[in-house]
Amino acid sequence: MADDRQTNAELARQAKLDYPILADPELHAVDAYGLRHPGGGPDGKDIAHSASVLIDGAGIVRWTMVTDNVRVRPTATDVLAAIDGLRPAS
Amino acid sequence: MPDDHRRPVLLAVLGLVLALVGIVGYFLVVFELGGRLPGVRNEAIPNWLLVALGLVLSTLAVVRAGRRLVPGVLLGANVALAALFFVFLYVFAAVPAVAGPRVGAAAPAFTLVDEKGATVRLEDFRGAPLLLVFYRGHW
Repeated sequence: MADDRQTNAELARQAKLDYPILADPELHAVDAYGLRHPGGGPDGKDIAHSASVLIDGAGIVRWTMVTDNVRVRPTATDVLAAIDGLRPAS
Repeated sequence: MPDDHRRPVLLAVLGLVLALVGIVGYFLVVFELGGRLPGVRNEAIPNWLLVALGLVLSTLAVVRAGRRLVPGVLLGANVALAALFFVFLYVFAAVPAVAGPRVGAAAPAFTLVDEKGATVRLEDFRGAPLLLVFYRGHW
């Protein structure tokens, strides 16, 4: 996320999340994954596009969902189907 | 108001109410229940069905009312609401398409800090599938 660590910690606490939230305020990972949205944030700040990336145990990208509409996100069914499509790790 | 005046007006009002339920219902789903009804958030099919039904009823009302003004005004309001809903869903919420990471390629390495301050690297997850989700944090 392009927010800082404190904002993420508060979100994790409020939403009782059981997975880590990573802070990427400089958008290094966002750029590495080709997901910068220039001017997409409040006050024209650069933020990330919404995207989900499934990476297998060998570090290969096996499925992505990058939408062109902020309302549209992958459903749990989409993600589970992508995970089912992974071959067993060698 | 005599019956043959009232019925088309009531029908047009019903049509407008259905469209409003469809549209307001969509925002309730997105802001209150988004995580639980992702299909509705993504496609808005039940909402569009309600809006379409509302438009049909309002149009029928105008047909039945002949030259009376009120059903026509209500149909106009209904059409305007449907148009605004369309603009919100497909124009306002649209963002430029990007390709993102290439499927089949090695996932780019990253080193970031989690909410507890611990350093997290992509290679920490080797050996098991990892779902990496990028959040905009903003409409």
